[in-house]
Amino acid sequence: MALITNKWILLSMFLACWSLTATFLAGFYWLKYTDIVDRITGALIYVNVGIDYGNGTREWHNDTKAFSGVTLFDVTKQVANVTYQVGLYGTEVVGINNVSKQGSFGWTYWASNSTSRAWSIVWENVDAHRVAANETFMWYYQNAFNPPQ
Amino acid sequence: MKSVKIATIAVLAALSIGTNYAMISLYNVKLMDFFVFVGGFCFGPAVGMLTGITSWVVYGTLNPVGFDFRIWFATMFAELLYGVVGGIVGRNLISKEADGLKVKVGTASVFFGMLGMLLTFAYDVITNAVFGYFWYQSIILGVIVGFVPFGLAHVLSNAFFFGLGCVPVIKVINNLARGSVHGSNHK
Repeated sequence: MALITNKWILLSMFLACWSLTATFLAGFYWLKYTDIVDRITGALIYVNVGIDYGNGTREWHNDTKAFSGVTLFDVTKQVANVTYQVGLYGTEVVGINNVSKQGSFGWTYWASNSTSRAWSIVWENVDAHRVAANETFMWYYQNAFNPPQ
Repeated sequence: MKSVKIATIAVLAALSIGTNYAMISLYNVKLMDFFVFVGGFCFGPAVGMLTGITSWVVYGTLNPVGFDFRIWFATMFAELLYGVVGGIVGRNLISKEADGLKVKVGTASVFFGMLGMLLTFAYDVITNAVFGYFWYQSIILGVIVGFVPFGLAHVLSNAFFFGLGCVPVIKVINNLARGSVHGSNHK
């Protein structure tokens, strides 16, 4: 009986419940906070993204803001309406601004070589390629693997 | 006495399994812990433990959410806490002459609610630590990540169930199984 009627035991139990709840909640929010900090503390960089629709129309999104560490996929989603599918080899962009993969036509992506100024194909998957400061990319809609003109 | 205990284990295990399936959509909100605790409280730690083991043998293996031996073993082991502590507390709360729980209902409810919370903390720490060790390769991460929202739901719901349900259910069992409740001299 003494166990229940002893006010100090009840008070101790209450304090234990309170402190445990507070500790776990604090731990959880600390974890969330550090995760967010890790994700957003990348340096601010600028990249240029071009979209060539293969019909003579080309648009540029110069000086697009991004954090270092983000992928080409993230940056493209920032500047255009992107549709994609996730398959065995990762994320595949199937449409940009309502121009979608059709038959042998599809979207290819290229990076401008900073020294030669020539376009070179990016061999990494779009969601794996991390953009660097001042890099220039081009999305090119075509039915081959020709570099943009 | 033996038959009453066996019948009690069967009824409590059936209740906990049945309510577990009925509440399957409410993640971590279950009456199982409550029934295991009550079994231990009224009939001793052994009955509490057997109720917990029986419940987990059925619910753990035929679980719509999935089966993993390591988690199953950890949850079953941790569930014994409710039965064992229930038995220990029961021995201290039911006097040899008493035919039931003779304390103020309000005080007893607060006590059981907080005890349910503390036991659930211990249960969640054990099971989340095992989960974290195998899935995240980090015990701390498992314990912290597992707390919100699932652990919190578990802790608060058990505080509610224990606080509200213990006193009336223990009284009913004591009246029904008069003489079989541990510590009692009644025949």
